[in-house]
Amino acid sequence: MSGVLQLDSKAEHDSRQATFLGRACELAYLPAEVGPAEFQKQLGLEAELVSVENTQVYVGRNENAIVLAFRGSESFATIDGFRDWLLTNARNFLILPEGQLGTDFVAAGVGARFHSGFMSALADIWDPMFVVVDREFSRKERPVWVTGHSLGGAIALLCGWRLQQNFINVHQICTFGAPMIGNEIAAQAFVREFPNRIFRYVDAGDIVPKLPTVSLFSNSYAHCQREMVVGHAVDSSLVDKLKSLAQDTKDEISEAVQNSLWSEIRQGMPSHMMGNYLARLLK
Amino acid sequence: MYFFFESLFLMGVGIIALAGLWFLVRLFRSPRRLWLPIVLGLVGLAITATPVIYTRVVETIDLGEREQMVDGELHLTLTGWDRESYEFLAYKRDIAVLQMANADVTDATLELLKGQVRLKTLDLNGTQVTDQGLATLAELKSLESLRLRGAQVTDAGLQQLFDHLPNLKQLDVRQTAVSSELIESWKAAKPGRRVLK
Repeated sequence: MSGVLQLDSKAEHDSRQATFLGRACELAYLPAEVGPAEFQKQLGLEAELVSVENTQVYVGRNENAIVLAFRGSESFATIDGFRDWLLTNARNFLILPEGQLGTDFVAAGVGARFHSGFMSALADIWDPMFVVVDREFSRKERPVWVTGHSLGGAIALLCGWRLQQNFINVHQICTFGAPMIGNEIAAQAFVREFPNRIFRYVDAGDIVPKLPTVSLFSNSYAHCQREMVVGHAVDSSLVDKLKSLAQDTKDEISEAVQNSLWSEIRQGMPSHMMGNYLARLLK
Repeated sequence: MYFFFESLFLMGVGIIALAGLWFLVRLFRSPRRLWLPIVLGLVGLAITATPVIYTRVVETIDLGEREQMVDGELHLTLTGWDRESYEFLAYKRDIAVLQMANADVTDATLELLKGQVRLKTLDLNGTQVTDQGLATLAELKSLESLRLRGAQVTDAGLQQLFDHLPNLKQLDVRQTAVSSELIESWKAAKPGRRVLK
Protein backbone atom coordinates (compact mmCIF):
# COMPACT_ATOMS: atom_id res chain seq x y z
CA MET A 1 0.00 0.00 0.00
CA SER A 2 2.94 2.34 -0.52
CA GLY A 3 2.04 5.84 -1.59
CA VAL A 4 -1.39 5.72 0.06
CA LEU A 5 -1.76 8.24 2.86
CA GLN A 6 -3.08 6.94 6.18
CA LEU A 7 -5.49 8.54 8.61
CA ASP A 8 -4.90 7.65 12.26
CA SER A 9 -7.88 8.50 14.47
CA LYS A 10 -6.13 7.41 17.67
CA ALA A 11 -3.45 10.10 17.39
CA GLU A 12 -3.70 13.71 18.48
CA HIS A 13 -4.13 16.16 15.63
CA ASP A 14 -0.85 16.27 13.70
CA SER A 15 0.50 17.28 10.31
CA ARG A 16 -0.07 13.76 8.92
CA GLN A 17 -3.79 14.05 9.55
CA ALA A 18 -3.78 17.57 8.15
CA THR A 19 -1.93 16.37 5.05
CA PHE A 20 -4.42 13.57 4.52
CA LEU A 21 -7.39 15.89 4.90
CA GLY A 22 -5.72 18.61 2.84
CA ARG A 23 -5.22 16.13 0.03
CA ALA A 24 -8.88 15.15 0.30
CA CYS A 25 -9.82 18.83 -0.05
CA GLU A 26 -7.66 19.10 -3.15
CA LEU A 27 -9.19 15.98 -4.70
CA ALA A 28 -12.64 17.34 -3.92
CA TYR A 29 -12.17 19.75 -6.80
CA LEU A 30 -12.01 16.84 -9.27
CA PRO A 31 -15.09 16.00 -11.35
CA ALA A 32 -17.14 12.88 -10.67
CA GLU A 33 -15.51 10.93 -13.52
CA VAL A 34 -11.97 11.02 -12.13
CA GLY A 35 -12.43 11.86 -8.45
CA PRO A 36 -13.33 8.43 -7.02
CA ALA A 37 -10.32 6.76 -8.66
CA GLU A 38 -7.93 9.33 -7.20
CA PHE A 39 -9.50 9.07 -3.73
CA GLN A 40 -8.93 5.32 -3.93
CA LYS A 41 -5.39 5.60 -5.24
CA GLN A 42 -4.07 8.40 -3.02
CA LEU A 43 -6.12 8.04 0.16
CA GLY A 44 -7.47 4.50 0.08
CA LEU A 45 -11.04 5.77 0.32
CA GLU A 46 -14.07 4.58 -1.56
CA ALA A 47 -15.63 7.90 -2.47
CA GLU A 48 -18.79 9.14 -4.08
CA LEU A 49 -19.65 12.65 -5.14
CA VAL A 50 -22.85 14.25 -3.87
CA SER A 51 -23.61 17.34 -5.88
CA VAL A 52 -26.50 19.78 -5.63
CA GLU A 53 -26.53 23.16 -7.32
CA ASN A 54 -23.12 24.69 -6.65
CA THR A 55 -22.33 22.66 -3.57
CA GLN A 56 -20.36 19.44 -3.80
CA VAL A 57 -19.04 16.99 -1.29
CA TYR A 58 -17.11 13.76 -1.65
CA VAL A 59 -18.16 11.20 0.91
CA GLY A 60 -15.21 8.84 1.28
CA ARG A 61 -14.99 5.83 3.51
CA ASN A 62 -12.93 2.82 4.40
CA GLU A 63 -13.22 0.43 7.34
CA ASN A 64 -11.72 2.94 9.77
CA ALA A 65 -13.08 6.30 8.74
CA ILE A 66 -15.74 8.33 7.01
CA VAL A 67 -14.33 11.48 5.40
CA LEU A 68 -16.48 14.32 4.08
CA ALA A 69 -14.55 16.69 1.82
CA PHE A 70 -16.38 19.81 0.66
CA ARG A 71 -15.36 21.89 -2.28
CA GLY A 72 -16.42 25.40 -3.10
CA SER A 73 -18.49 26.42 -6.10
CA GLU A 74 -17.80 24.84 -9.47
CA SER A 75 -15.47 27.55 -10.65
CA PHE A 76 -14.06 28.29 -7.25
CA ALA A 77 -10.50 27.28 -8.11
CA THR A 78 -10.39 30.18 -10.54
CA ILE A 79 -10.02 33.72 -9.40
CA ASP A 80 -13.08 34.80 -11.37
CA GLY A 81 -15.27 32.18 -9.74
CA PHE A 82 -14.14 33.35 -6.36
CA ARG A 83 -14.73 36.95 -7.25
CA ASP A 84 -18.30 36.18 -8.23
CA TRP A 85 -18.92 34.54 -4.95
CA LEU A 86 -17.26 37.19 -2.87
CA LEU A 87 -18.56 40.36 -4.42
CA THR A 88 -21.49 39.94 -6.75
CA ASN A 89 -22.99 37.27 -4.57
CA ALA A 90 -22.24 38.94 -1.26
CA ARG A 91 -25.13 37.31 0.54
CA ASN A 92 -23.54 37.59 3.91
CA PHE A 93 -26.48 38.51 6.08
CA LEU A 94 -26.27 36.89 9.47
CA ILE A 95 -29.39 34.80 9.87
CA LEU A 96 -31.12 32.01 11.67
CA PRO A 97 -32.72 29.73 9.09
CA GLU A 98 -36.32 28.51 9.24
CA GLY A 99 -37.68 25.01 9.77
CA GLN A 100 -35.78 22.00 11.07
CA LEU A 101 -32.52 23.55 9.87
CA GLY A 102 -33.31 26.51 12.11
CA THR A 103 -34.03 24.29 15.10
CA ASP A 104 -30.72 22.48 14.59
CA PHE A 105 -28.77 25.72 14.57
CA VAL A 106 -30.66 27.72 17.18
CA ALA A 107 -29.39 25.02 19.53
CA ALA A 108 -26.29 27.23 19.55
CA GLY A 109 -28.38 29.85 21.38
CA VAL A 110 -31.22 32.22 20.54
CA GLY A 111 -28.67 34.94 19.77
CA ALA A 112 -26.59 32.86 17.34
CA ARG A 113 -26.57 34.01 13.73
CA PHE A 114 -25.01 32.40 10.68
CA HIS A 115 -23.89 33.42 7.19
CA SER A 116 -26.93 33.13 4.96
CA GLY A 117 -25.02 32.05 1.83
CA PHE A 118 -23.17 29.19 3.54
CA MET A 119 -26.35 28.13 5.27
CA SER A 120 -28.29 27.85 2.04
CA ALA A 121 -25.38 25.89 0.52
CA LEU A 122 -25.63 23.43 3.41
CA ALA A 123 -29.41 23.27 3.04
CA ASP A 124 -29.01 22.40 -0.65
CA ILE A 125 -26.66 19.50 -0.08
CA TRP A 126 -27.89 18.18 3.27
CA ASP A 127 -30.58 15.64 2.39
CA PRO A 128 -28.73 13.62 -0.27
CA MET A 129 -25.48 13.85 1.71
CA PHE A 130 -27.04 12.78 4.99
CA VAL A 131 -28.60 9.70 3.37
CA VAL A 132 -25.11 8.48 2.45
CA VAL A 133 -23.48 9.37 5.78
CA ASP A 134 -26.35 7.91 7.80
CA ARG A 135 -26.24 4.69 5.81
CA GLU A 136 -22.47 4.32 6.26
CA PHE A 137 -22.54 5.25 9.95
CA SER A 138 -25.40 2.80 10.57
CA ARG A 139 -23.49 0.02 8.84
CA LYS A 140 -20.48 0.62 11.06
CA GLU A 141 -19.84 3.45 13.50
CA ARG A 142 -16.48 4.98 12.63
CA PRO A 143 -14.71 8.28 13.26
CA VAL A 144 -16.23 10.95 11.01
CA TRP A 145 -13.87 13.61 9.63
CA VAL A 146 -15.24 16.74 8.00
CA THR A 147 -12.98 18.92 5.93
CA GLY A 148 -13.05 21.56 3.23
CA HIS A 149 -11.09 24.31 1.58
CA SER A 150 -12.24 27.92 1.50
CA LEU A 151 -16.04 28.08 1.03
CA GLY A 152 -15.98 24.29 1.46
CA GLY A 153 -14.37 24.80 4.88
CA ALA A 154 -17.19 27.07 5.94
CA ILE A 155 -19.77 24.48 4.88
CA ALA A 156 -17.72 21.77 6.62
CA LEU A 157 -18.12 23.60 9.93
CA LEU A 158 -21.88 23.95 9.53
CA CYS A 159 -22.15 20.35 8.36
CA GLY A 160 -20.24 19.08 11.42
CA TRP A 161 -22.63 20.93 13.69
CA ARG A 162 -25.71 19.47 12.04
CA LEU A 163 -24.27 15.94 12.04
CA GLN A 164 -23.90 16.13 15.81
CA GLN A 165 -27.43 17.50 16.07
CA ASN A 166 -28.33 14.20 14.41
CA PHE A 167 -26.21 12.30 16.94
CA ILE A 168 -23.50 11.36 14.47
CA ASN A 169 -20.30 11.90 16.37
CA VAL A 170 -17.83 14.10 14.50
CA HIS A 171 -14.27 13.13 15.27
CA GLN A 172 -12.64 16.21 13.81
CA ILE A 173 -13.35 19.23 11.63
CA CYS A 174 -10.38 20.54 9.68
CA THR A 175 -10.63 23.57 7.41
CA PHE A 176 -8.13 25.28 5.12
CA GLY A 177 -8.37 28.97 4.41
CA ALA A 178 -12.02 29.07 5.47
CA PRO A 179 -13.92 32.30 6.04
CA MET A 180 -16.04 32.96 9.13
CA ILE A 181 -19.49 31.44 9.40
CA GLY A 182 -21.33 33.25 12.15
CA ASN A 183 -21.35 35.71 15.02
CA GLU A 184 -19.57 35.52 18.37
CA ILE A 185 -22.36 33.56 20.08
CA ALA A 186 -22.26 30.98 17.29
CA ALA A 187 -18.47 30.69 17.52
CA GLN A 188 -18.62 30.12 21.29
CA ALA A 189 -21.23 27.40 20.85
CA PHE A 190 -18.95 25.66 18.35
CA VAL A 191 -16.14 25.66 20.90
CA ARG A 192 -18.43 24.01 23.49
CA GLU A 193 -19.73 21.49 20.98
CA PHE A 194 -16.31 20.60 19.51
CA PRO A 195 -13.73 21.08 22.28
CA ASN A 196 -10.28 20.72 20.65
CA ARG A 197 -11.79 19.09 17.60
CA ILE A 198 -11.85 22.02 15.17
CA PHE A 199 -8.59 22.78 13.37
CA ARG A 200 -8.68 25.79 11.15
CA TYR A 201 -5.59 26.10 8.95
CA VAL A 202 -4.78 29.61 7.97
CA ASP A 203 -1.89 30.81 5.87
CA ALA A 204 -0.59 34.03 7.30
CA GLY A 205 -0.71 35.55 3.83
CA ASP A 206 -4.22 34.33 3.07
CA ILE A 207 -6.85 37.00 3.14
CA VAL A 208 -9.97 34.83 2.93
CA PRO A 209 -10.01 33.68 6.59
CA LYS A 210 -10.23 37.35 7.52
CA LEU A 211 -13.51 37.61 5.65
CA PRO A 212 -16.20 38.65 6.06
CA THR A 213 -14.63 41.05 8.50
CA VAL A 214 -15.11 43.60 5.78
CA SER A 215 -18.62 42.45 5.13
CA LEU A 216 -20.62 45.27 3.69
CA PHE A 217 -23.74 44.23 5.53
CA SER A 218 -22.44 43.22 8.88
CA ASN A 219 -19.03 42.90 10.45
CA SER A 220 -19.99 41.08 13.60
CA TYR A 221 -18.48 37.78 12.49
CA ALA A 222 -16.24 35.64 14.68
CA HIS A 223 -14.00 32.59 14.12
CA CYS A 224 -14.14 29.19 15.77
CA GLN A 225 -11.00 27.93 17.44
CA ARG A 226 -8.46 26.61 16.95
CA GLU A 227 -6.29 28.42 14.51
CA MET A 228 -3.22 26.73 13.00
CA VAL A 229 -1.04 29.24 11.21
CA VAL A 230 1.17 28.17 8.34
CA GLY A 231 3.46 30.35 6.26
CA HIS A 232 4.55 33.86 7.13
CA ALA A 233 2.71 37.10 7.42
CA VAL A 234 3.37 38.87 4.16
CA ASP A 235 1.50 42.08 4.65
CA SER A 236 -0.32 42.55 7.90
CA SER A 237 -1.34 46.03 6.89
CA LEU A 238 -3.45 44.58 4.10
CA VAL A 239 -6.34 43.85 6.40
CA ASP A 240 -6.20 47.30 7.89
CA LYS A 241 -6.23 48.70 4.40
CA LEU A 242 -9.30 46.64 3.61
CA LYS A 243 -11.03 47.66 6.78
CA SER A 244 -10.54 51.32 6.14
CA LEU A 245 -11.72 50.81 2.59
CA ALA A 246 -14.89 49.23 3.85
CA GLN A 247 -15.36 52.04 6.35
CA ASP A 248 -15.15 54.62 3.62
CA THR A 249 -17.85 52.94 1.61
CA LYS A 250 -20.31 52.10 4.35
CA ASP A 251 -23.51 52.26 2.37
CA GLU A 252 -22.86 51.43 -1.24
CA ILE A 253 -20.97 48.96 -3.32
CA SER A 254 -19.91 50.94 -6.31
CA GLU A 255 -18.04 49.36 -9.19
CA ALA A 256 -14.94 51.38 -8.38
CA VAL A 257 -14.91 50.16 -4.80
CA GLN A 258 -15.45 46.59 -5.91
CA ASN A 259 -12.45 46.83 -8.19
CA SER A 260 -10.08 48.43 -5.73
CA LEU A 261 -11.22 46.01 -3.03
CA TRP A 262 -10.63 43.24 -5.47
CA SER A 263 -7.12 44.28 -6.42
CA GLU A 264 -6.22 44.31 -2.73
CA ILE A 265 -7.54 40.81 -2.30
CA ARG A 266 -5.92 39.50 -5.45
CA GLN A 267 -2.51 40.26 -3.99
CA GLY A 268 -3.19 37.82 -1.19
CA MET A 269 -4.68 35.25 -3.52
CA PRO A 270 -1.88 32.73 -4.15
CA SER A 271 -1.70 31.89 -0.46
CA HIS A 272 -5.39 31.02 -0.55
CA MET A 273 -5.00 28.16 -3.05
CA MET A 274 -5.27 24.62 -1.71
CA GLY A 275 -1.95 23.72 -3.33
CA ASN A 276 -0.23 26.34 -1.21
CA TYR A 277 -1.68 24.91 2.00
CA LEU A 278 -0.54 21.41 1.07
CA ALA A 279 2.94 22.61 0.18
CA ARG A 280 3.25 24.35 3.56
CA LEU A 281 2.14 21.21 5.40
CA LEU A 282 4.56 18.95 3.54
CA LYS A 283 7.53 21.16 4.30
CA MET B 1 -37.22 39.19 6.03
CA TYR B 2 -33.77 38.45 4.64
CA PHE B 3 -35.20 37.64 1.26
CA PHE B 4 -36.93 41.00 1.41
CA PHE B 5 -33.64 42.70 2.31
CA GLU B 6 -31.83 40.98 -0.49
CA SER B 7 -34.51 41.96 -3.00
CA LEU B 8 -34.42 45.51 -1.70
CA PHE B 9 -30.66 45.64 -2.01
CA LEU B 10 -30.64 44.30 -5.57
CA MET B 11 -33.52 46.57 -6.54
CA GLY B 12 -31.58 49.54 -5.23
CA VAL B 13 -28.50 48.55 -7.22
CA GLY B 14 -30.68 48.16 -10.30
CA ILE B 15 -32.18 51.61 -9.86
CA ILE B 16 -28.74 53.17 -9.44
CA ALA B 17 -27.56 51.52 -12.67
CA LEU B 18 -30.69 52.69 -14.47
CA ALA B 19 -30.27 56.22 -13.17
CA GLY B 20 -26.62 56.24 -14.30
CA LEU B 21 -27.64 55.17 -17.77
CA TRP B 22 -30.40 57.76 -17.89
CA PHE B 23 -27.97 60.42 -16.74
CA LEU B 24 -25.53 59.57 -19.52
CA VAL B 25 -28.23 59.53 -22.15
CA ARG B 26 -29.52 62.92 -21.02
CA LEU B 27 -26.03 64.31 -20.85
CA PHE B 28 -25.21 63.50 -24.46
CA ARG B 29 -28.63 63.81 -26.09
CA SER B 30 -30.28 66.75 -24.37
CA PRO B 31 -28.46 68.05 -21.31
CA ARG B 32 -31.37 69.59 -19.44
CA ARG B 33 -33.21 68.62 -16.29
CA LEU B 34 -30.25 66.51 -15.32
CA TRP B 35 -31.45 66.56 -11.72
CA LEU B 36 -34.12 63.99 -12.59
CA PRO B 37 -31.75 61.04 -13.03
CA ILE B 38 -29.66 62.31 -10.12
CA VAL B 39 -32.68 62.23 -7.83
CA LEU B 40 -33.52 58.74 -9.07
CA GLY B 41 -29.93 57.69 -8.34
CA LEU B 42 -30.21 59.01 -4.80
CA VAL B 43 -33.49 57.15 -4.31
CA GLY B 44 -31.74 53.99 -5.48
CA LEU B 45 -28.90 54.66 -3.08
CA ALA B 46 -31.32 55.08 -0.19
CA ILE B 47 -33.05 51.79 -1.07
CA THR B 48 -29.70 50.00 -1.32
CA ALA B 49 -28.59 51.37 2.01
CA THR B 50 -31.78 50.53 3.88
CA PRO B 51 -30.93 46.90 4.74
CA VAL B 52 -27.43 47.88 5.79
CA ILE B 53 -28.63 50.64 8.07
CA TYR B 54 -31.44 48.52 9.42
CA THR B 55 -29.28 45.51 10.30
CA ARG B 56 -26.55 47.63 11.83
CA VAL B 57 -28.42 50.34 13.64
CA VAL B 58 -32.09 49.53 14.11
CA GLU B 59 -32.21 45.77 14.57
CA THR B 60 -30.85 44.36 17.77
CA ILE B 61 -30.81 40.63 18.35
CA ASP B 62 -33.71 39.70 20.58
CA LEU B 63 -32.60 37.29 23.27
CA GLY B 64 -36.08 36.14 24.18
CA GLU B 65 -37.38 32.64 23.53
CA ARG B 66 -37.63 31.46 19.93
CA GLU B 67 -40.73 29.63 18.93
CA GLN B 68 -41.51 28.12 15.54
CA MET B 69 -43.80 25.55 14.01
CA VAL B 70 -42.04 22.86 11.99
CA ASP B 71 -44.26 20.35 10.18
CA GLY B 72 -47.09 21.11 12.57
CA GLU B 73 -44.93 20.66 15.66
CA LEU B 74 -43.97 23.29 18.20
CA HIS B 75 -40.23 23.89 18.56
CA LEU B 76 -39.25 26.10 21.50
CA THR B 77 -35.74 27.36 22.23
CA LEU B 78 -34.62 29.00 25.46
CA THR B 79 -30.89 28.26 25.09
CA GLY B 80 -28.84 31.37 25.68
CA TRP B 81 -31.83 33.61 26.44
CA ASP B 82 -31.66 36.59 28.77
CA ARG B 83 -34.82 35.87 30.80
CA GLU B 84 -34.89 34.27 34.21
CA SER B 85 -38.22 32.64 34.83
CA TYR B 86 -39.12 29.30 33.25
CA GLU B 87 -42.58 29.34 34.86
CA PHE B 88 -44.38 29.95 31.56
CA LEU B 89 -43.42 26.42 30.48
CA ALA B 90 -46.14 25.10 32.79
CA TYR B 91 -48.78 26.75 30.59
CA LYS B 92 -47.30 25.78 27.22
CA ARG B 93 -49.04 22.82 25.62
CA ASP B 94 -47.79 20.32 23.08
CA ILE B 95 -44.13 21.22 22.88
CA ALA B 96 -42.37 18.76 20.53
CA VAL B 97 -38.82 20.12 20.67
CA LEU B 98 -37.51 22.00 23.71
CA GLN B 99 -33.99 23.40 23.83
CA MET B 100 -32.98 24.87 27.18
CA ALA B 101 -29.25 24.25 27.50
CA ASN B 102 -28.74 26.86 30.22
CA ALA B 103 -26.71 26.67 33.41
CA ASP B 104 -29.66 27.90 35.53
CA VAL B 105 -31.84 24.92 34.62
CA THR B 106 -32.24 22.55 37.59
CA ASP B 107 -34.29 19.50 38.59
CA ALA B 108 -36.98 21.93 39.79
CA THR B 109 -37.23 23.42 36.29
CA LEU B 110 -38.00 19.98 34.89
CA GLU B 111 -41.05 19.74 37.17
CA LEU B 112 -42.62 22.34 34.86
CA LEU B 113 -42.53 19.84 32.00
CA LYS B 114 -45.04 17.47 33.55
CA GLY B 115 -47.79 16.70 31.06
CA GLN B 116 -45.71 17.44 27.96
CA VAL B 117 -46.89 14.23 26.33
CA ARG B 118 -45.71 15.26 22.85
CA LEU B 119 -42.15 16.17 23.86
CA LYS B 120 -39.78 14.26 21.56
CA THR B 121 -36.54 16.18 21.77
CA LEU B 122 -35.09 17.80 24.88
CA ASP B 123 -31.78 19.66 25.07
CA LEU B 124 -30.41 19.91 28.63
CA ASN B 125 -26.72 20.37 27.76
CA GLY B 126 -24.74 22.25 30.38
CA THR B 127 -27.56 22.22 32.96
CA GLN B 128 -27.49 21.30 36.67
CA VAL B 129 -29.86 18.37 36.13
CA THR B 130 -29.24 15.28 38.33
CA ASP B 131 -30.65 11.74 38.58
CA GLN B 132 -33.60 13.23 40.44
CA GLY B 133 -34.47 15.30 37.38
CA LEU B 134 -34.20 12.20 35.19
CA ALA B 135 -36.89 10.59 37.36
CA THR B 136 -39.20 13.46 36.35
CA LEU B 137 -38.33 12.95 32.69
CA ALA B 138 -39.21 9.25 32.96
CA GLU B 139 -42.86 10.28 32.71
CA LEU B 140 -42.44 11.88 29.30
CA LYS B 141 -43.22 8.80 27.26
CA SER B 142 -42.72 10.38 23.82
CA LEU B 143 -39.12 11.38 24.51
CA GLU B 144 -36.80 10.12 21.77
CA SER B 145 -33.85 12.44 21.94
CA LEU B 146 -32.14 13.71 25.10
CA ARG B 147 -29.04 15.86 25.56
CA LEU B 148 -27.32 15.83 28.94
CA ARG B 149 -23.78 16.97 28.14
CA GLY B 150 -22.03 18.06 31.32
CA ALA B 151 -25.04 17.30 33.58
CA GLN B 152 -24.63 15.69 37.02
CA VAL B 153 -26.20 12.38 36.02
CA THR B 154 -24.99 8.85 36.82
CA ASP B 155 -25.54 5.28 35.63
CA ALA B 156 -28.28 4.74 38.24
CA GLY B 157 -30.38 7.64 37.00
CA LEU B 158 -29.90 6.75 33.38
CA GLN B 159 -30.72 3.06 33.91
CA GLN B 160 -34.00 4.11 35.50
CA LEU B 161 -34.72 6.36 32.52
CA PHE B 162 -33.98 3.52 30.08
CA ASP B 163 -36.44 1.28 31.94
CA HIS B 164 -39.22 3.84 31.62
CA LEU B 165 -38.57 5.17 28.12
CA PRO B 166 -38.31 2.37 25.55
CA ASN B 167 -38.75 4.93 22.74
CA LEU B 168 -35.56 6.79 23.62
CA LYS B 169 -33.20 6.60 20.63
CA GLN B 170 -30.64 9.37 20.90
CA LEU B 171 -28.56 10.42 23.86
CA ASP B 172 -25.81 12.94 24.51
CA VAL B 173 -23.86 12.07 27.68
CA ARG B 174 -20.52 13.74 26.92
CA GLN B 175 -18.67 15.08 29.97
CA THR B 176 -20.78 13.08 32.42
CA ALA B 177 -19.99 10.26 34.86
CA VAL B 178 -22.02 7.79 32.80
CA SER B 179 -20.08 4.59 32.06
CA SER B 180 -19.28 3.25 28.63
CA GLU B 181 -20.51 -0.21 29.65
CA LEU B 182 -24.04 1.03 30.34
CA ILE B 183 -24.13 2.97 27.09
CA GLU B 184 -22.79 0.11 25.00
CA SER B 185 -25.29 -2.39 26.37
CA TRP B 186 -28.15 0.07 25.83
CA LYS B 187 -27.06 0.70 22.24
CA ALA B 188 -26.68 -3.01 21.55
CA ALA B 189 -30.19 -3.75 22.85
CA LYS B 190 -31.95 -2.07 19.93
CA PRO B 191 -30.69 -1.07 16.47
CA GLY B 192 -30.74 2.59 15.50
CA ARG B 193 -29.77 3.95 18.91
CA ARG B 194 -27.12 6.64 18.84
CA VAL B 195 -25.04 8.16 21.58
CA LEU B 196 -22.61 11.04 21.81
CA LYS B 197 -20.20 9.95 24.52
